[in-house]
Amino acid sequence: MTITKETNIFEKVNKEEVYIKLVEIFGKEYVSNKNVDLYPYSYDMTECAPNMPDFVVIPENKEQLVELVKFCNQNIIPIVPYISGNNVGGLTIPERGGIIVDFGKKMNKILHINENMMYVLLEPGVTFGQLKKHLDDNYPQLRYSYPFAPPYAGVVGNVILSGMNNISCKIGSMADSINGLEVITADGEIARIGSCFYGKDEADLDSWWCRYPMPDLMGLFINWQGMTGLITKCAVQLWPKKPIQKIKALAIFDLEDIGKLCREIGRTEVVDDMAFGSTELIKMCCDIPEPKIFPGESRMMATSVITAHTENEYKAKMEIYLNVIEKFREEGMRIYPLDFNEFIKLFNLRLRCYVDLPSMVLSLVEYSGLTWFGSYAPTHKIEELAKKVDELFKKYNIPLYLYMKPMKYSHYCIFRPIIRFNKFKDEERTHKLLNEIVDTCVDLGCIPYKTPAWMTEKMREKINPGWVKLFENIKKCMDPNGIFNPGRWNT
Amino acid sequence: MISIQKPEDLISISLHNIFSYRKDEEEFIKLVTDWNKKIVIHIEPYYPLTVIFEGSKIQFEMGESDKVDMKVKLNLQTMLDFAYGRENPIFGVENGLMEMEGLGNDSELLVKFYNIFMVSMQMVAAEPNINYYELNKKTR
Repeated sequence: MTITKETNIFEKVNKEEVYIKLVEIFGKEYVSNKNVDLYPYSYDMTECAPNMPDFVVIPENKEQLVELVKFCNQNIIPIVPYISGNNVGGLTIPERGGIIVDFGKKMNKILHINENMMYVLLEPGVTFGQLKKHLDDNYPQLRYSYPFAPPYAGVVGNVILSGMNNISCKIGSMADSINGLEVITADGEIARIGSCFYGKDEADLDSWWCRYPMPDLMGLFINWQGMTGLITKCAVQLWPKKPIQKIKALAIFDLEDIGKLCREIGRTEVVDDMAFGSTELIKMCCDIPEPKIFPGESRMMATSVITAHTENEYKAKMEIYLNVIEKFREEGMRIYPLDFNEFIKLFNLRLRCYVDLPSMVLSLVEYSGLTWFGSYAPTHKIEELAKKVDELFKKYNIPLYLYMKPMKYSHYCIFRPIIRFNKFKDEERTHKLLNEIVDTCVDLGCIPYKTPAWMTEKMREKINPGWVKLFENIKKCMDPNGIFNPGRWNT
Repeated sequence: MISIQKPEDLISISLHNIFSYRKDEEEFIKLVTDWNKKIVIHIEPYYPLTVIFEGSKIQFEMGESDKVDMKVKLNLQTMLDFAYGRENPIFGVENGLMEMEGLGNDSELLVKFYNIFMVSMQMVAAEPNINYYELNKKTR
């Protein structure tokens, strides 16, 4: 049940007039103010409090959106961008009501692929599954980098919020792979950022190839959770698909060893991606509802993806990878290397869902609630983070679902404890645990991404005041009337 | 029809997966039904596990049970080598890759163990499909 918060967003113009205007812009078929249509946009899987929007619109082009932004800015009506609602941070819950702009239905075209410069230009509603199919069917020599997300999640939402992906060990954050953006700012202007900035009218489709060296205005939109403008186009980098791709697994018996492994394997520069999953997480994926750890079991499983153009290149990379493993084994580390594909067939094929991305790990969403503390973390703190988070999960008698990966050859890492829960039943316990995880991890320097508002409220107490002031000044400058996804980052 | 206990530990999950692959196969049903044996399988670096064949049931118990009929010890990599045909399980005993206890003169025990454990592993390993959602659609 969604409770509608009291708001006074229709002071300047009444709700009926807004409806008439929206119908004028988008057409009657693509505007709704009916509760039955609005309800699905009022909540997500997380513990974040739901709230009803007042309208949902389905845009088809940027001209409609320019008109919408001008109208909303003039009348101070909130606009909340929405693709598929799969972020695990309550980011599209309309905190102050207003208008949901659902990009997922019609603004979901793959506009252009440049094979030479390896990028794709997308509308905001394109999903990972759609992009993967398009590339596999038409450009089999190219690949995108997919996160641990279902195929129906949005590509642009993930890059703009610095999601991780399955070549993160090499390329780091998804946001680093953005070449260009087209955005509508609060005054209704359309701005193109990146190498596509030349030209008064539409940009040449082949001009979206780089982000630098002009002043990097992209920072005004990346990680702002839709608070500074509406993105209408985004170009992201593609990567060559190498003919050899093999996955190595590592059974790890002691939790404290994951830090060393993450740092040392990452910095060999031979691994495209490395992901660590706790044994409980692995068991959950094999359909065990409340998995436990038994004496003698390994605590974590790591997968490392190694790609190569030739067998010789692969062998050389494997030599480097195995040398690190062997060195640690000689030092007494209880780790056990395996070929992932061989092992997984005998163990449980379901685990391939972890590596065949994008994919739906059904057991992850089979409860009514799912939440996490998804964070960027300093790699030298992994040992402490893992130990403390493990203790917290034990304290609350909840299985440790921990997912972690080195980013950009271990310059930093993703540290993500995950909790699935039954809404209305386990919500309080889950929220308490998550609160303690946030306190512990933020104290150790972790920075959450796709951050819900209740979490940013806690972070604000620890962030330096100069940053907060600059952040707020920029927000005011970009969105003086506070119409873009208000409430995020407690603005 | 045989029933296989749904386990919660890693090694049992793997054996459950391997046996489930053949659970509707007539030959496998014939092999395990009324075998009534307790086999300890110790896959290193993990723990020993007792697999209990009783009537038409297959159950798992972590650790070594009392009065077991046979003990087998091998490491995880050797298990993969047997499954994927890089090593021969028969010679594996001779050259120390796999230790076996409790065989005595019971050659039937060895043959059954081979057909139930090793052949099943080899069949799973040989399965060309690696897409879970295409596998065992009827029995899943």
